[in-house]
Amino acid sequence: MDLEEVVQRVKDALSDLEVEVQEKGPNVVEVKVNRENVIEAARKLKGLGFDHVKSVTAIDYPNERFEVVYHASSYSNLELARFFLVLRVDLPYDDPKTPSLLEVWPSVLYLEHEQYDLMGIDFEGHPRKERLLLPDDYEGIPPLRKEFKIKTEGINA
Amino acid sequence: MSEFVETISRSEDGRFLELLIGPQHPASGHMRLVAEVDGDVVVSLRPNLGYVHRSVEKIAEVKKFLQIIPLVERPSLADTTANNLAYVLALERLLGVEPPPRAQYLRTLLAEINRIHSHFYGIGIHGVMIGSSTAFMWAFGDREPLIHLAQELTGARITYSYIIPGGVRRDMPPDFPDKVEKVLRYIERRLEDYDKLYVRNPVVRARLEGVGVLKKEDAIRLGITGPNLRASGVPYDVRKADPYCAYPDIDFNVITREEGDAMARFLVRVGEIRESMKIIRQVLKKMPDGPIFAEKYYKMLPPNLKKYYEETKEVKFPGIFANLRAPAGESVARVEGGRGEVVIYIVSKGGMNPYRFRIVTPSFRNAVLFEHLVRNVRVADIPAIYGSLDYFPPEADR
Amino acid sequence: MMDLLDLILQPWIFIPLIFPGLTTAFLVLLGIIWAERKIAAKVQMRYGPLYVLKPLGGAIQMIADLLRYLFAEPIIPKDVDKLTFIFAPLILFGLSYLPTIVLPAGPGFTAISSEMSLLILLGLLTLSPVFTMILAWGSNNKFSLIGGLREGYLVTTYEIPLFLSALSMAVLYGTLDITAMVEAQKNVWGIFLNPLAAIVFLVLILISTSKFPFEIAEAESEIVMGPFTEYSGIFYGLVMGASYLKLYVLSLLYALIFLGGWYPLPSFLQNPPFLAGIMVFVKGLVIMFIAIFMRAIYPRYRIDQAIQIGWHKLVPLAILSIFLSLLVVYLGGV
Repeated sequence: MDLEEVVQRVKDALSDLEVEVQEKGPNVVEVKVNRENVIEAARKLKGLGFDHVKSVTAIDYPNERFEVVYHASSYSNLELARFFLVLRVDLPYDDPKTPSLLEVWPSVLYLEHEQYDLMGIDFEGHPRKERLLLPDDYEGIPPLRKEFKIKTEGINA
Repeated sequence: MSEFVETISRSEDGRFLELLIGPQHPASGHMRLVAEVDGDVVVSLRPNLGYVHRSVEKIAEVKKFLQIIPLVERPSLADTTANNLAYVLALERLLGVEPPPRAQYLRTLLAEINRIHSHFYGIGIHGVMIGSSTAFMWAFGDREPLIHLAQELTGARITYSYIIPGGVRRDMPPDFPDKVEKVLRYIERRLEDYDKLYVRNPVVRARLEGVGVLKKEDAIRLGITGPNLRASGVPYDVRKADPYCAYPDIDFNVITREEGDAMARFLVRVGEIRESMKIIRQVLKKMPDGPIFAEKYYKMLPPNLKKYYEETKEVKFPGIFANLRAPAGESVARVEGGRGEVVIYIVSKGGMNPYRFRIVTPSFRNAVLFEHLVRNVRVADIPAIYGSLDYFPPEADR
Repeated sequence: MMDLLDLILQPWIFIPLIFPGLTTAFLVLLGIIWAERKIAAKVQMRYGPLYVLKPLGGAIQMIADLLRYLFAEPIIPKDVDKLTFIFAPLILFGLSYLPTIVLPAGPGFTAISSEMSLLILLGLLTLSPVFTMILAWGSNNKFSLIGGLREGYLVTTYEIPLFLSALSMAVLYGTLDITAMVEAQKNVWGIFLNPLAAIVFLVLILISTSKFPFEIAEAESEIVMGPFTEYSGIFYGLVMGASYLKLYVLSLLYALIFLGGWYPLPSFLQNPPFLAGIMVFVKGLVIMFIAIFMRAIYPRYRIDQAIQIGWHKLVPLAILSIFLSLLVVYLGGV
C-alpha cells in the first residue's frame, strides 16, 4: 500500500465532510477538520483501520488559535501501520474546546487528559477533569502555553 | 468509554479499604497507586502520575536543537537510545540530512545493546516485585557487561547522547566486535541459567501465568505499545512496520505471544533479548566502511576539528552548531525502544528552538493498563502486573 | 566457682539459659541472618556483608546491625495503640523463645521432663502468632492490618497439618515425650520411617516462619513490611528476630523427631551430654540452612495459593502420614 492509495482512501471515506486531506512527507497523511466534524471524521478513519492514537498534541499560537493534533495509526492492519494519520483541529484562542475522541479511540484517555492538564484544552465529554501530571492544587496558566514563561539560568551555550 | 468514567467506586458501607501504594513504598516507584481493596481482592486501581514530571516539552521550547538531545534522554534512564534516536530522526527529517550508512549501522548497534540492557532492567524489577531477589540481582548484574559495551562505544554508561544530527559521535573501537562477541556468549550462557532458575520455577509460573491478561482487542483499542502489545498477539514492531536506520537490511523476527498474561510479557522480553543478539551479530558482520558523519556537516567543520575527526574518528561540533536552525515545518518520528514505541513530534517556526516539542513515551501510553488490568485481582498481583509492564514512572511523567 | 559452674550445668538452668535457650538462640540469631545474607549473596553474584571484620567475611555484621537497632530511636507513631505497640513485640519475642525450655539437649537432660513435652512445645508455638496479629492491629496502618490478616490466614493453614504431621511421629514412636521419641530412633531415623511427615513438616516450617516461598505476611513489594511496617529501632529488631527464633525452635524439633536427635552418637559418648547437644544443634542448623536457602531460589506465592497448598495438599498429606505411621507400627514398629 503506498501513500497515494492511503490518501485516496482517506479522501473517499471523508468525502461527505468538510476536510482537507494532503500528504506530508513519505508516510504522513494529514487531515484538517473543524471541531464540529471531528468525531464523525475520527469514526470514519477508525473504520479505515486507524485503530489507535499515538500522540495528542495541542499547539498554542498566542492570540490566534489553538491546534490539536492527533497522530493515529494502525495495529490491526500492518500495511497501514507504516503510515501516520495526522488529524488536525483548529480551535479559536478564546474558546479552546473540542469534543473528546475518547468514544472513538479509547487510547486517547491519558493523551487528551495530559493536554487538558498542561495546555488547558477542554475536551468535551472527557470524563477526567482533574490534574494528571501537575500537582492537584495547581492553579494558574497551563504551563505549556506560550504565556507561561520559564526562567532559564542564563547559560545558553 | 463508560469503563473509564468512575473507576473509584467507594462502597457505601465502608467495606472497601483504600490503599495508597506509593510514592513512599518499596515497590511503587515514583508514583502512587490508589487501590481499593475488598479483603484481598482489588476492586479498582488508579495510577496517580506526575511525581517526577520535569516538563521536558516545555524546557525543549527554550533549548537549542542540540541541547535537546541530552534533555530527551533524561526521563527514560535505561532506555535512553530510543529517545535519542527518535529525536534525531525527527530532527533530521526536518533538516533534510541523511546520515551515511556506517552511522546507520552504529546507531542500530547501540539501539540493540540498549534494548538488551533495558530488558534486563525490566526483568530484574519484575523479579524483585514477585519476591525473587535472585532474578533482580542477576538481571542487574548481567546488565553490566552490556553497559560496559555501550561505554566502550560511546564513552558513557547510560546517557549516551551518541546519536547526533547527521551521524554518530564516535566510531567504534577496532577490537569492539570481539568484545561484543564475548559478551553475547556470556549472555547466552546466562539466559540458560535464567531458564533453569526463574522461567521454569513453579512459583514463578504460579505467580505469573494467567495473571493480568490483556486481550488482543483491548491492547489495540487502548493503544498499548512495546512488548506488552506483542505479548497480546499483535505483531507490531516499528522496526518492521516503519523501518529506520539499518533495520531494513537486517533479518530478525518479531516476538509475539498469544496469552497476553504477565508471563507472556516476560517471555516476550526474553525472546527479544535473543533477537537483539542476532541483530547485533548481523550488524557487526554487515557494518560498512565509510564516514560516520554526514558530508553536509563535515564540510562545515573548521580545519582543526576536521583533522581531529580524521585522527580519532570522533566528532566534535564547533560552537556554530549550537545555533543550528531548523527550517519551518514539522516532522514526526517513531522508534521502537526497549519499553515500546517512542513518538517525537517537532513543530518548528524556523528558529533556533522548536516551537512545540512533543514526546510520547511508551510508559505513558501503557499507564492505562494499571486501571485496565489491575481489577478483580489479588493484592499480591499488583506488583506482579506492575512489574510485567516494565513501566518506568519518570519516563511516563517526562 | 565450681559451685557456680555446677549450678549452670543443672539442666533447669542450662537449658533455658545456655542451650538450646537464650545464649545459643541469640548466637544463632546473629549467625543465621548473616548466613542468610551471605548465602543469598553467593547465589546472586555479590559479596553480601563484607566490611565488618573483613577476614571472616563480615561475620560480625549482625552485631553491628544489632547495635544499630539498639541505638536507633524507636519511633512510636502518634496514632498507634501504645500499649499493644510496645508490649506485643516483647511478648512475641519471649513466646518465640519460650518453647526452647521443653527441648531436651541430650539424653535425659531436660529442664521440664514431661510425658507430654511434644504437646507442650506445639502448644507454646501457637501462642506467638496471636501477638503478631495484635501488634498488626495496634499499629493502625492499613499495610499492617493486611499483613496481620495474612498471618492469621496462614496460621489457620499451617497449624493443623503441622500438628498432624508431628503427631503422626508420636503415633509412630508411641510416645509424646520428645526424649523418648529420640530414643526410639536409635536404629532408624524418623525421616526414613515416615518420609511423608518429614516433607510436610519441612514445608510447614517454611510457612510458619514466613520463609520463601511463603514469605507472604511480610511481602515487601506488596505490603511494605506487613505487620511490622510501623516498627523501627529495637522493636523492629525484636519482631524480626522472633520469626528466626521460631525457625530455630522448629529446626531443633525437626532434628529431634525426624533426624534422630543425638543418634548415631554411640551411647558411651552420650554422657555427659555435650556431644549429644552439639549433634542436635548441627542437625538443626542444616534444617535452618535449607529454610534460608529458599530465599535464593523462590519468589513468593500469593496468599490464596499458599492457603490452597495448605488445605488441598498439606492437610491430606499430613492425614496420610498418620496412616503411614499406623502402617509402620502395624508392620512391626520401631
